[in-house]
Amino acid sequence: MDHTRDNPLKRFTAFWIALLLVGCFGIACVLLRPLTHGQVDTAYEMVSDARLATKSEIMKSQAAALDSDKLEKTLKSAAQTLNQAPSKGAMPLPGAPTK
Amino acid sequence: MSETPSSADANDIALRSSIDRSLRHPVMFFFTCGALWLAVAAVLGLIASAKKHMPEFLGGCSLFDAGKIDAAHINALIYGWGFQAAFGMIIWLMARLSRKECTSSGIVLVAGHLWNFAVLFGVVGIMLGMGTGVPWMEFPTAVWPVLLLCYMLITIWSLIQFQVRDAGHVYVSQWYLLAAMLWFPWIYMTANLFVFVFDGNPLMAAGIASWFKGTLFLLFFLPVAVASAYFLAPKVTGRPVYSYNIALFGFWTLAVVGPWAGMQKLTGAPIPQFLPYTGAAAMVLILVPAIAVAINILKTVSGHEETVTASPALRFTAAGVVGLLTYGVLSAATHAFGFSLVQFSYTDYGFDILGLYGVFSLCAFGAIYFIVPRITRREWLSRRFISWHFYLSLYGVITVAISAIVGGISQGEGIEAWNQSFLAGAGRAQSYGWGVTIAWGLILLSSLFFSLHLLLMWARLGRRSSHPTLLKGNHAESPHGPEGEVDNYGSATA
Repeated sequence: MDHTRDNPLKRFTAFWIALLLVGCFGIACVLLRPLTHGQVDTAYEMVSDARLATKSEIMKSQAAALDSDKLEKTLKSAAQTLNQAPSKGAMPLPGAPTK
Repeated sequence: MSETPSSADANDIALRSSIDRSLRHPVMFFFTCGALWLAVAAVLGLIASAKKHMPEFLGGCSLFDAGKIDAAHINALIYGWGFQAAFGMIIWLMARLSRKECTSSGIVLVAGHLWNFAVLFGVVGIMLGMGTGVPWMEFPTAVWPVLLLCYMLITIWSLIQFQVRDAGHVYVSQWYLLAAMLWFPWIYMTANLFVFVFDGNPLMAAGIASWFKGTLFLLFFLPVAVASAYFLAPKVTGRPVYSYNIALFGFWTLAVVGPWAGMQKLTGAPIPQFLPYTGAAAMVLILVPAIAVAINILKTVSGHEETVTASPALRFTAAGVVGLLTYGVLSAATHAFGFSLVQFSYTDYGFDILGLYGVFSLCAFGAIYFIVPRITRREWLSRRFISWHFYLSLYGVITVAISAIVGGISQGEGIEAWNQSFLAGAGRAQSYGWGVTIAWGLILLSSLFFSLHLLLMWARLGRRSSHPTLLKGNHAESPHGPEGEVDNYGSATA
């Protein structure tokens, strides 16, 4: 055995160098993680602004097209007849008294 | 072998003998457990293949669902057989080439047991539906850190042996072994961290999973197989390696080309377009190191055809080297000219098995037939068992490769034909599926012969003779030297 090349100290050092070498791969992955993870542009995010603009335009046009006075009047008249028995030939209301 | 016990230095023989003794238990443990896992993988492969053309086969049992059994089969083959055979080869070859005894065989043995339990847990986990579904990393996620820890406990001593080796020449085999030992933790840790631990973009995870599948063979199994071939060819023929320059060229081309392979499977996926094209280019260029290794090994053994035929170690190794050349040629041809036909077909499986069995396993069998008599100090019992193992393995792997690759190309043509339904394309591969099933039957038979033979050797029931078991009747023309006395230094000579 060549004691200048093979001695307990050299083996001990080689053990830790080998562990460190393998550990370096893991450390490199941890260091690389922010680079792969920070700025992710998903397809959803890329088109989301245009989608939100379209959605708000639709909401506005729907709100403009809605006659709120007429809707309120209809709702009130429907609420008044809610507990009345249906007249002959009319559609029965669920839960309304039948007599 | 050029060296005879009478002319060899007694100290040298004693050193080799003590190295063999120090590694006897771990090496035999890895080889025998690996052989049993190979038989398990062959059974699972047979069932998995049968389910491709007979979907109702074992259909009543959810353990054998097609997706589960496919994954269990390939993982048992890789982590059960492949890695354990590689461990046995790495620790024995590195100890012999560094001329250092193993002082930690107990730790290696414990880590080997732990590895087997982890693989068993992984395979059972896959069959119970706990698999991850990521190709070649299907084991439940708790398994990979255990496997990595075991890997380190098994191979770190070989790294130390290399570091404290006596001053002098570094053998070609040592380059490959050292590279494989360091490349595997790199790819395995990177793949598992980015796929299972870091919550990155799923597309990135898919790309890394493909990269791992592509590089595991090229950066771990292939270097170990080539290291064994570079050790055995000169050793058994008694000639030096044909060209060190070609060996150096082959090593560095593999080191440069290998890490780029894998992402060609994602052609058309929304990832940077250079990645799949680089992967395909790497799979074409892999032909270069394949040719370099094949020329070097085959030129080393040329003129010794009788030795190649007679020596089990060299016959298996030569078959593995020819398998490597075939792998390189087919890989270059399919990735350069017809990739669209093979991307989503059965062909990929043919390449996997050609690499894992037709290249790595054949070289591993060669190494096992060389190493086991030296560490058990017994010779192989039966020439017929070795012959049957060789022919059944060879016919098996050729049938799998042809059926899967040709069937896959035919299937790919069917998929590409837009005027036909998808099922018509799948139907084209069905008849080839029968070929794969029969082939796994042949491989199962071969692995049963091999396992039985190995178990008998482990029980030290081999022949008490210094004369190796050759694949021909006349032992007088042994390439391993003349007949010696019973249990003399013969089994310690390399």
